[in-house]
Amino acid sequence: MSNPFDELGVDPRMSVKELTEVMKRMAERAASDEERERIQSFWRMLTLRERDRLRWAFLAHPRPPAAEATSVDALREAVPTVPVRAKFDAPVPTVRDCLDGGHQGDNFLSPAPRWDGWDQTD
Amino acid sequence: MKWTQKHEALLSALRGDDTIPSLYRALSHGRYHLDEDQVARLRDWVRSLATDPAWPHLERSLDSLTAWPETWNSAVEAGFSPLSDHHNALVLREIAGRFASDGDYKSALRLYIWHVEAFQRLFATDYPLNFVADVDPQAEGWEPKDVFTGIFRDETEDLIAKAKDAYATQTIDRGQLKFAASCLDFVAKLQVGTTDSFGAMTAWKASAVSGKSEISRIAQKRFDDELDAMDWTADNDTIAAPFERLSTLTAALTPSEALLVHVVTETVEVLWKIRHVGNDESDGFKRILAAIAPLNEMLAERVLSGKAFGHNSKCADFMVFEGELISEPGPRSAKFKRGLEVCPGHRNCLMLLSYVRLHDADVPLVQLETLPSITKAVPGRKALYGRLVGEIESAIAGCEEIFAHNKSLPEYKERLQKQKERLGME
Repeated sequence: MSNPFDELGVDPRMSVKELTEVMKRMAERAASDEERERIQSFWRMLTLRERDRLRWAFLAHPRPPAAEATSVDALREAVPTVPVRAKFDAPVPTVRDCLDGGHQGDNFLSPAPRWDGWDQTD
Repeated sequence: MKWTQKHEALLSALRGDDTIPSLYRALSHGRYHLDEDQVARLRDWVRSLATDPAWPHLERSLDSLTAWPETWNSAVEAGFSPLSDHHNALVLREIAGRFASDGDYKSALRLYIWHVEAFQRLFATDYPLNFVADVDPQAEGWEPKDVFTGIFRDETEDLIAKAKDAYATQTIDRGQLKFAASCLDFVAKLQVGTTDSFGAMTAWKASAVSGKSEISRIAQKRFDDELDAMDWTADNDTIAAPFERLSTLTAALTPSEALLVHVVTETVEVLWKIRHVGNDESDGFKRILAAIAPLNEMLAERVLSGKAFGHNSKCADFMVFEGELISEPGPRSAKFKRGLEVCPGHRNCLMLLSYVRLHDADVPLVQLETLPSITKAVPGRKALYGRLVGEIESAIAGCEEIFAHNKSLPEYKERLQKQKERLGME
């Protein structure tokens, strides 16, 4: 017999109340009457007798934290992302920029020529 | 960017999806696979394993099927967390079931034993107690230990049913019988430590012991019924069947002393019956001996270790029948000596052993008897042939020491004396 917790992917440690809420939502979203009946059957298996719930819970695989969705795609979508900045060469202001009265040349973003003639003895 | 729980969840899922199929395949010797849904259900297993000391042992052998089962053993030695062992027990049990359904009982037994050991480790911790606290069942008129006892008792019942089912057929399903019996035997021999949450392992062991007894009773009843109805002049397969069936069972299910004694005693009686109807040179007769020999040796060990009393004679009787079929003097002699070890003074063992010793005289006697009478005139005849006389005298003396009432002794003594006189070797 299939384990209801494993079949439905439900956390075995859930309380009866939590199970009822989750399985109710599952039943409401069920694609067919057969699926709905299946979920209801599982709900009965887990909630009619507490000792059965404990038994099924122990024989089910422990589940990861509730925050984890089942599919990798859903998990990917849930991961927060940050915008990626376009990369440009940073402008390098030089003394010439100041001496030329701020003339930057045709393209502000192209690197200005360096002035190699700095005389440190001056 | 901050690493969040969602990142961890995604990483865990990716690792699981990548690793679980390989791990499952490795544990099942490359035979079984999982679908996507099954992989997703097992994600927490790898998430837990990845933090265990056992993990490096498993990870490095995931793609090497030849490295298993040794890999699992080294992983166990390195250590699993209780959460991992919870998963381990469930997965191993599932794979064992699949192997058993497919008739690969050897693999099924190995995985079954691993699953029992995983549960044993688990219940030696507080994990089950904490688990029950998390599930928090409202127990009215029952206790959580009843649930665990029930789980393991159901496992035992399933094995008992398999064993009974295998034993009930005319030509038993030896593989299934051996598997079910071996599993029961393993659980019945569990060493339960001081920590045993909910007494689950103790209860499991007790149910297995009880299961073994039940199967033994069924086996003995069928054995007795078949012997009562048997025609010992029937074909080989028919007369050997009850013994071979029982032997298959006891090879896997360590038999009780009571069963051993009963089977050996009944078998000796049957062997005499078969001899009386003149069927003791048949293959069926030999097959009966071969089937029950291991059980008789188990009984011998228990007698010699002081664990069984009062059954020495039947045990030695069986060894007499065994020894009679052995033609090589060395092994034949060893069998009778074993019988004497179990039952000192056993008359038939002594008698047959004395014959083995006496037959050491056969070749030198014939050699003497074929010498021409003219040998009497040869001056160095005693130096030449004294050795032969010595061997014969030693064999006769040895025989007489073992069993003085050997009926062939007078004949051999007479033959020797006659040659001594004829060849002047007195």
